[in-house]
Amino acid sequence: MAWIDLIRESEATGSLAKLYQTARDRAGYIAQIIQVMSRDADVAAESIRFYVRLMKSPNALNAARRELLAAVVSNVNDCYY
Amino acid sequence: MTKSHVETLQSHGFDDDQITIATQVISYFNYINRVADGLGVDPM
Repeated sequence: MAWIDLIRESEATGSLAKLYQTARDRAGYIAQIIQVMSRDADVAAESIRFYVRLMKSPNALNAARRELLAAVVSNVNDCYY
Repeated sequence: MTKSHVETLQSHGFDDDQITIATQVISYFNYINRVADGLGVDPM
């Protein structure tokens, strides 16, 4: 359980409901990291937009190298994310 | 990322575009790891 109260999908309205639906359409589920940012949907949306642009769109590094970097950083930080 | 890291990557043939993206990927995951750990996110 997170240490703050999250806004669940069933409780979401407005821009948060839209954010959750977009996440579900993209990944098939709503990641916990998105739910934990649910207290401010606009900030969460910008964070996710940056993630998608950086990690899921074509750029100077191929997707495998980007994912490998992410895995190494998260391992160094001993973090699932 | 430090100047030394950048120079090492350049010596291995990574160009500046690639190093820019790599730096941002590293920084993004440091940020999101801190958000996750700071708020006690469940997981993976």
